[in-house]
Amino acid sequence: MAMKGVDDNGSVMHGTLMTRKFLAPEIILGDDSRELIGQYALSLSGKNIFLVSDPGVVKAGWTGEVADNLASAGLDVVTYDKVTPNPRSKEVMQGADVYIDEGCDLIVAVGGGSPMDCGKAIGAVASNHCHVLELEGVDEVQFPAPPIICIPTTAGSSADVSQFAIITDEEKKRKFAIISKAMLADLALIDPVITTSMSLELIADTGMDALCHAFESYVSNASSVITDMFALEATRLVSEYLPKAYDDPDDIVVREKVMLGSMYAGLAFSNASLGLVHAMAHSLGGYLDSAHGECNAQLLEHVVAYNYPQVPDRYRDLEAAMSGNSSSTDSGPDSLVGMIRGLNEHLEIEPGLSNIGVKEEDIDFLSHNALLDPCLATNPRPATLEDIEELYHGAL
Amino acid sequence: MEPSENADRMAAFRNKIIGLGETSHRKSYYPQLRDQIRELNQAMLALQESENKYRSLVENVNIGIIQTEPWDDGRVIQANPAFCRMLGVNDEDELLDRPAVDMYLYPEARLELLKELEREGRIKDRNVVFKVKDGSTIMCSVSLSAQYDINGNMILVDVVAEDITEKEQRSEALRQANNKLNLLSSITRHDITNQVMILEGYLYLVMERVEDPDILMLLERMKVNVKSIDRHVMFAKDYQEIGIQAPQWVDLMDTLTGAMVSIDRTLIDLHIDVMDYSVFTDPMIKKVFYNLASNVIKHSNATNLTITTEEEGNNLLVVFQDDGIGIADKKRLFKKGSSSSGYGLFLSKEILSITGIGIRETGVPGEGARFEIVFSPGQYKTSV
Repeated sequence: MAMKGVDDNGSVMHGTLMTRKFLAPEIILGDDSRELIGQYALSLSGKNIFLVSDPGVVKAGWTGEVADNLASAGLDVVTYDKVTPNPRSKEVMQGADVYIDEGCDLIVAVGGGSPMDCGKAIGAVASNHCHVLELEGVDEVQFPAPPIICIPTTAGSSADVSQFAIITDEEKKRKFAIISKAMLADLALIDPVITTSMSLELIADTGMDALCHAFESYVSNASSVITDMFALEATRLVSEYLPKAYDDPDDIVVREKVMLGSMYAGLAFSNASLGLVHAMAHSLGGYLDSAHGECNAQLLEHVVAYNYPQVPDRYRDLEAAMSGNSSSTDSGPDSLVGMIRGLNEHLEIEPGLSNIGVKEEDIDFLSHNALLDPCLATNPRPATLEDIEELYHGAL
Repeated sequence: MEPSENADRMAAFRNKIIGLGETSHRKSYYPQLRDQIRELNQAMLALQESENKYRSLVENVNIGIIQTEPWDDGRVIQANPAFCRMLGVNDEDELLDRPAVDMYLYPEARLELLKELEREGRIKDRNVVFKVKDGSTIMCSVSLSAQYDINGNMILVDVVAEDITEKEQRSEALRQANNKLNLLSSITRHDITNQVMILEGYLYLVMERVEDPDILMLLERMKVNVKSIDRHVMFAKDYQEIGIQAPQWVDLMDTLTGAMVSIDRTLIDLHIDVMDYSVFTDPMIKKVFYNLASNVIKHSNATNLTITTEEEGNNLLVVFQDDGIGIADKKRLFKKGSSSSGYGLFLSKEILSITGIGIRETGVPGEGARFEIVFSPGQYKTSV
């Protein structure tokens, strides 16, 4: 029977379903799907392709292979492959200059989160003729970017399916988010074969990033039944298969499962957004240029403990999904926190932010930046500056 | 930032992230994009209107307009109705895709025009003879301009053609009539001058044989009248030459020096101090300069004549200033027959007026005469 009530925005509800949107790019998933790039670039009317990548991916051979495929389809290719981890605003602006100068009309990003975020931001800057810093925030992208195709080489960032692009403001040593439907790629070519070139460390870091996406979108105060479904399935897949992928990186079936989990988590967080883990990790990444996945992995258990009292049922669902059981224990946050620690241990992620260079005296700066991050808006439990400081201390 | 302020900011973020508000648009549904498309449509409509206007102008104008390719024999791309009428064809289709060279009576004329067009980019008023469908020909005055691609290669030639066949025939008739008149005038003048000389001779003979002072006085008067007939004939000769040659740009300094060659420098100290100018005038302006200088010698008692240039507003003045007695009665200065020795200033004024150049005398009596020749903008330019 339909129930009437009022949702947290004050609008009248006619049932249990919150009114929510769900947005996803066209997704082509499967082994060797990367080889379809030429055909799809043509179908999006591309002629002069701007290929964004990074030196690691170039070395692994994926960038060259994609460029060759594009050239075979009769397309011109301009390669921009110097993107660094945690891409800087300067790299975006330089890329946009090259894009405009060379008269490109379509962007292909091959790589992990960095080249994909950089490529998406380059597109937005090229269309809006502005500085990338002006696009910070939600719905600040006025004009749509040119067509963008993403080919992820890691199983974690999910920039290929998300409306987010995270860029580093190198002047102020902080990361900022560009969140807009216009930041959604037109096509994600998700090819598990590509992820086989990842190092063990990268498998661990990006996999934990995916798990954090699943966790944070599930407990987000903007979640929906659709994002819940993806978040829970992502949690289940990543928890079960990430350790296996770490133990046996050559098992392609296991890699597919992690990739699938990452994509589900991406679809969930792109629509439900994230929370305190990401707000704090962005601040860390901007300040110390540390690996995003590792920051997340370090922070997750502390934020779970902090948020738990606010949404215990949601965390119990996550605990069940992690353990593969249909129901969870009723032991409060301890059991779930224990599972996260166990996973981190398995992945050889040494606990403690001090291991990645965080010092006591950095906490003030880090907390101020985290407090302003839009990801905080959807954290289930509101956090004050003091709360965030305390969490950093706890994670040190 | 105050905690409550940040809470409001975060609430606004959350609403936007949920993405149901007016600011949340999919890639292809941006209102700005819609605006841009609307503006583009408006621009296209305006372009269409403007094209219609030009089309109507090209189709209704009474001057032939064609567009051809510059290479080979010049395929015709477009021809307006006026050009079709000129060539006696029913419509454009009879000319389209045909070689332009076939329209020329002398095909080499087209090649020469193209060569010149390649050099100049645009050429004006060249006479060309076109073949008409019925076998006759027409004379056209054509102007050509070239269109180029982004690499600077000529890709199209626009030709504007005016049928001047009748105009040419009329000017030819006029030229011939003028020649006949000149011939008649020159023969008649020659005959009159001969008769006047004979008359003058007889007058001298008669005067030598007559002693009666009354009759001698009458004969003197006759002599004056005979001289006057001679002057009238000389005037007719000069006047006939005015306007025969087309006006042209001449170098001021060269023309002045040329005109002063026959001035006797022992009778006057001549100072020419003019800047580098060219002036647009009847070539007989030389005569004007000579007249002005020669008048100074004859009538002013001056010792110095200074010729200078001055710019007055937008006008250029060429000034003849002497230090003689000046001119007290300026009223009839430029009138016919005002001069005792002929028609100098009247003729000068006539010569100058052909191209609209003015002349005036502004000197102070007693301090010398000052003649100013006034060139308006467009009648003079600085020499390069």
